[in-house]
Amino acid sequence: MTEQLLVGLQLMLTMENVFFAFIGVSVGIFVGSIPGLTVTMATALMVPLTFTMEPIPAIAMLLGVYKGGMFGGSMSAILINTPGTPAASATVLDGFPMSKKGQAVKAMKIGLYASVIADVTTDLILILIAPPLAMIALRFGPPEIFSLVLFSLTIIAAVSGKSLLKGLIAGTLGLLFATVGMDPVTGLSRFDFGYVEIMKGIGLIPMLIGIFAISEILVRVEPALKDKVEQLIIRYSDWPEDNEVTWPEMRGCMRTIFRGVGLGAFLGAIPGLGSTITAFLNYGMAQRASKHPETFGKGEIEGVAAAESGNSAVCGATLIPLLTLGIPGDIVTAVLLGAFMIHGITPGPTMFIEHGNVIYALFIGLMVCNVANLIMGRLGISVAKNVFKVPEAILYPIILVLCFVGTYAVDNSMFDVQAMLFFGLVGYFMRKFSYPLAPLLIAFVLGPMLENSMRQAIIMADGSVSIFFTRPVSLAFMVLTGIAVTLIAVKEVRKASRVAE
Amino acid sequence: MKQRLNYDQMTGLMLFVFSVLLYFLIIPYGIPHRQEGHGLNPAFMPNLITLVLGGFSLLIILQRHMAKKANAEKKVPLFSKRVVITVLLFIAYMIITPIIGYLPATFMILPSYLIFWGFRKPIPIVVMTLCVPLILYWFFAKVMLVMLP
Repeated sequence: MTEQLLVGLQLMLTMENVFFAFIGVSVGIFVGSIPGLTVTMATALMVPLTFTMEPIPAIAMLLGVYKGGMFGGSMSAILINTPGTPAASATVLDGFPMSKKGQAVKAMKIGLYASVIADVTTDLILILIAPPLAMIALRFGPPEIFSLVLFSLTIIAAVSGKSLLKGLIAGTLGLLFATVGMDPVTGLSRFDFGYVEIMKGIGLIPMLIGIFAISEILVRVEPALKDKVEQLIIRYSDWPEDNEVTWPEMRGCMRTIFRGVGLGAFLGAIPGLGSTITAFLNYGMAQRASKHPETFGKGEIEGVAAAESGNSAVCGATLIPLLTLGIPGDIVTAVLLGAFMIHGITPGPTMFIEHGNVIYALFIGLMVCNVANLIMGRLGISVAKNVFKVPEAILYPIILVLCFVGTYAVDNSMFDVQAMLFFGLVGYFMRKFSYPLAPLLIAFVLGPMLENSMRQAIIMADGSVSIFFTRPVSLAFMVLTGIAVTLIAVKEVRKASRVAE
Repeated sequence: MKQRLNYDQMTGLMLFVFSVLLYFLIIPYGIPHRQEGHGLNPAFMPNLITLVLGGFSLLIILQRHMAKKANAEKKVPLFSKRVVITVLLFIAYMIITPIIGYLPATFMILPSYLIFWGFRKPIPIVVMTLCVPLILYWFFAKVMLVMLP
């Protein structure tokens, strides 16, 4: 292996390859930071550009887009409260509150460092123990996924703010919106009322942009909500401690980042789970493990580190089933699978024998992309912080137009734009009546996975729910869910009795 | 306190009515019923969610009803003229874009929003009205190959 890695180093570390890796990362960061444009879209559009290239620079560039896009999505989440990519949804929860405290640059920097550390570590895991991890991950079936998602939903309690009940209502609405569209088990359409466009369901991006960006703009134009607007204004602080991540802060986040690595390395290797759920799960676990959980959702640096390490750790891990078994873990890796095949490389167990040198060159390429991500990410932060200099009267009309075109671009559909406006109004009224937005988003993201895995598991068990309690991993998550729900209930009862006193 | 209390009760009541409508009208009409083998039918999850939503909305009504202490939230009107104008402008943008195209529609809507937001410098308005839509058009349509209307 050492010998192959040295050959890989020699193959990868040429000016041309490193240049294309940097180009890929830059494109990824830029596209990822624009709401509506996804990493998948950018990767797919870059594939034709690689047709005439050699396999190593071509794949390095595409991997660069993937990695850069993961971080890029966090910049708009932190600066304008709109995640550039769905994977950055959890970053909004603490990233934007940090901006309101004048710590946007610090938030972007911790996001970048967490992203890069998580990425490097999962890439190392990919290089060292990919095959056994892939085999374990593939044993994770629908019952285990259902129990895991159910456990992940308990983080709704952590992001509900002052009223758990309102958080639960918001979460229930999120689950309800997630059921609109084609039922994946029977193929029947739900709540379409004869409209073909509703059959595809409500898109995550129109929903994200609507509830975060549009609702915020509506709150800002309302004179009666001046106190809420005050809370929304982002500020730039000249204080160095608001713009730099100190060593104690970095040290404080390391445990969270490595928890994200552990989660991402395993969950990323399971096809279909993706980075958004990992980000939310790591966020919830960081909140539970924190000595000051009440600061989460109010601009906690560890919250940003948790979300960003969670989503970026998945990058390396989704390549595990792709490279070892030829199974793409998500849509981006499906595009990458196509790119590999265009260049004459068929991912799978035989790839390490047939194209060993190329694969090890790509492993080195992953590391080069991580370095590029760090450098270009720092440059990106320097450019992005200029958003503070744009007056609000100019910034918000431009954001409105950008939201319109970005949402339309997802599917070339005006229905998505209408859905975005609808969710903008839902978000506006939720903010107005103090209903938290985060539970709605979390439940909407996790809802389809929860329902599909539950129904698949029940079909597997011939209609019995005992399958969730007879398989060890599923049982473990069920027990964890039970413990989490009990702790939340005890906390709420104590809070209620304190209020009564 | 009274206003706040009313808002929570009002939203709770609206959500409860919504869940009743969902359970008895929208789900039976909006989801075709089909039961195959041991699988749950497509209406199972929406029905379950609706029941939970109805329960939570009742709880929030009761919680507010039993609340003794005053809440310091100030009175907020349900609708604001500025919000209505912003939404109407956006709806107009959505309607005219497929008819006259993205660029002419944005040339009309962007200055309207800038003026509405209180930006009154004519030259920057003209510059932005021309540059922002064109840059977005170039990037989305020419670079990202998105078919804009």
